Amino acid sequence: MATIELTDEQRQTLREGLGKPVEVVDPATQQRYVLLGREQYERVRSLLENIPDREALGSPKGVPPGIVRSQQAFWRDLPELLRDKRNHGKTVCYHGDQRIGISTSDEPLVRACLRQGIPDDAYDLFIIGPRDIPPWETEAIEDLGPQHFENGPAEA
Amino acid sequence: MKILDRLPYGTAPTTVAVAGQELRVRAYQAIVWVSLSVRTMLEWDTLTPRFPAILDTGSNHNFSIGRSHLIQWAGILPEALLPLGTVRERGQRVPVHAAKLWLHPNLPGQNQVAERKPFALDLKGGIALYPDQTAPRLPILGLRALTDNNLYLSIDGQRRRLGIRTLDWRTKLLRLLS
Repeated sequence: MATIELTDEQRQTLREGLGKPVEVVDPATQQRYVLLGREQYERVRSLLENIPDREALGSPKGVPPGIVRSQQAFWRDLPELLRDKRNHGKTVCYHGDQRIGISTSDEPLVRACLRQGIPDDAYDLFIIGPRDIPPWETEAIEDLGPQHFENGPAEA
Repeated sequence: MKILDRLPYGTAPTTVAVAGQELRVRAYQAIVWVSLSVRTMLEWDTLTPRFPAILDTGSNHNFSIGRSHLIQWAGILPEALLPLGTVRERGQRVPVHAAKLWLHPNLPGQNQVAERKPFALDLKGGIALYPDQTAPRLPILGLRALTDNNLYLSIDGQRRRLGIRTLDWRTKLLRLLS
């Protein structure tokens, strides 16, 4: 995505609008645009970019689009990441299609996201390792045994 | 670095106290003390509440907890944790949320928590957040959380103690020799 820096006048207008979208007009063409905050944009991004429906991907409602996009990008890149054995077991972070970095722990990657102003619901972290299903699909985990419930097995 | 140092576990039932409640611990269940936070909390906050969890190497997920325990014990509203997806367990879909887990060290050879900074566990894939009706009676720390954080788990069956530590030079040396 291209980035244009705000002028002082635009910044002032945005402040006065208290976070509401601001209409912008190109005086040369009279073409109108809407300037809205990054967080607001992330909420409607899937509609604008025609991202596949989350339910169709097997992911539940409520997973932020930015996280779904990051999961898709990780799944797309995983074969390439696995080709380099030095990556195995390391953490990779995606912000949508953009790879933030690879590290031995989450911390430097989360710090990088914070530095870049990426909201928490627009990135995800993954372990680089073989996996059989995409991150957005529902994984079957081991059923909890009866010892984990109040009416479990009687004590000896 | 040692996180759990010769932590005792019992061969007879016992109890653990949390939030004014005495909860039953079955024989051969190891109790660890943990805290939960949002994944963006990079520095330990001493005000974060701690609560017990069962260490279950038979659990192939990171961490499992009921909604009420999350609110009352961990001090977190479920809405504060980003949804990441779901897992399927006992035929039900269980939502998974992003979180960071903090594992509290013990006083060497004792069940008591040591008053030093806990160890942060990064939980890629998040925590399973159960509705109360199907939640485990105590939260569960699974093997995936230890594995993905490259931790070393040892069990001394003779002395009924267990240890969790980061990879140290002795282990690396032994691996080279074996």
